[in-house]
Amino acid sequence: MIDELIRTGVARFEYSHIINHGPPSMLAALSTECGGDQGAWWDFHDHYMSQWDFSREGAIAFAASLSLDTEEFRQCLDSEKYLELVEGQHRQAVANGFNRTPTVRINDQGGAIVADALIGQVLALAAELEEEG
Amino acid sequence: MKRAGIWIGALGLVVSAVLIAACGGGDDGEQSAAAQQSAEAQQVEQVEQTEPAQEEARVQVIRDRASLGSPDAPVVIQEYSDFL
Repeated sequence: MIDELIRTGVARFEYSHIINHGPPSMLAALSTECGGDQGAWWDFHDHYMSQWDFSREGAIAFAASLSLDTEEFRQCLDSEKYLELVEGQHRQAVANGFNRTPTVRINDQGGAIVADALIGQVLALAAELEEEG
Repeated sequence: MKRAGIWIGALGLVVSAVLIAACGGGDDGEQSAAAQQSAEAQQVEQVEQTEPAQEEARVQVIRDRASLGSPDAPVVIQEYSDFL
């Protein structure tokens, strides 16, 4: 249903990193951004949401399984190319008081974590905005 | 004697013409240098103006790839999360 709301232009989804569990969290975030350089941001996002291997070797193996350029991926990861980006997103989230993960916001207001409740909020807000014109 | 006077007069004219041309050439040189400096300053100014714009565009590309849906969507769901 969320997919439908996004596909039909009702809602947009934006993801920002929070690093609450040290190096493994950072490695997953950096790997995802490095995967993004080769068009695989969401592959890495879905990968890390569904398994528990947060090692450098695991990230490189996953990049290889997607037929990415593993040398480019390795260089991106080892140079910490996106460290500033990830740390910046984390700092901004903490500065806004978003310490709990996940934190969901809908048009800068508190959002529900449970999918059904979130969909209800999105639909209600969309209807409200449409009425306002 | 009269002919000598004519030659001296003509020589004077030639010298004057050379001097005027030389002075004019100097102005051209200064103008050319000034124009070059101005062009370089404009280039630096353009770089200073475009670098932040390019950086902004780069950041937007990175932000967009972590997003789904239209930038014009009325409702924006933002998730702040850790993969662990």
